[in-house]
Amino acid sequence: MAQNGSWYKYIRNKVIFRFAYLYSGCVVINKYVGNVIFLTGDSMQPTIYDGDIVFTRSYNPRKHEINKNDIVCVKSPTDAGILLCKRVALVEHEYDNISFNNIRPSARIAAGHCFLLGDNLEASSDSRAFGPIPMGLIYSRVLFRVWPPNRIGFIEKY
Amino acid sequence: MSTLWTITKIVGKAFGIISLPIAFCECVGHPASVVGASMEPTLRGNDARWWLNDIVWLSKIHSFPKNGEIYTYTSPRDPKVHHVKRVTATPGEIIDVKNRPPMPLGPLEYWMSSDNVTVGQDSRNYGPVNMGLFQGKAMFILWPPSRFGSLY
Repeated sequence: MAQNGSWYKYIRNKVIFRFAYLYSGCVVINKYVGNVIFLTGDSMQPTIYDGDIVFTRSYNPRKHEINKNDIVCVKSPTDAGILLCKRVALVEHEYDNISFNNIRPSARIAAGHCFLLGDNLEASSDSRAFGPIPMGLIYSRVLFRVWPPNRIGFIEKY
Repeated sequence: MSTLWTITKIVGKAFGIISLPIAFCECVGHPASVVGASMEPTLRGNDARWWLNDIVWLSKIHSFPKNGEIYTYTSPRDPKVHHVKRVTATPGEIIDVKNRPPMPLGPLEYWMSSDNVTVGQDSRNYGPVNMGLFQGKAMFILWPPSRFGSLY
């Protein structure tokens, strides 16, 4: 270790590098492994409650498949920077038998798209409002719940 | 145990050092090679000789997309492929193309067009592209050296 003024610089550089490594490590984990996400709202009751913390697995379209009835976190198609957590009710090429109103005529879900539906239909803003979403908006798939402690475990599938 | 701590430090540092360039590509930007002729003459990607195709710098740091800017995005039809096109209409503007009723774009919808309309797919085929699909903004041509320079 060097003396006096350089000691201060040495510590500062060490802190900067370690912060850079830590930040980069977190970016890599978020991109390749998964995230811990704090969920709010009632739109997925009774599967997920307000305040649940879940572990999700990052979605890479080239490696992973999204299956019907998976619960996914998607980038909101209407609000920048917001993540929604919904269930995939219909995948591509399936007939849309959910949008009962005439705003969206009953048709097949387009290629590369999926139809999201909250489990709590009354309190959920989902594809019934904004239509099927492209799968490129999917951020991660919800795996299991880590909080609250009395309900830790894999999220139930239908 | 001090050997355990040493091992943790080494593994942590190795992971951190390897993560740095990956995080840089994710957060700052990275080069990408152009495939296809849909953005001719601005971007050339249609030669089987890979060293003749353009390489552009994609920046992840940018402000909200504006008309005339070139962006890469995940294709709405197939999330495994990325398209690169130019923004020709922004949220709130009214689209007026044939086979489509004139409608204003939604809050995060952008109309992407090829510079070379005879080739490739763009918003005329799959409709407006959501901003959440955008991956990066093409800023410079890095290669070949004869075409080096900003795209704007």
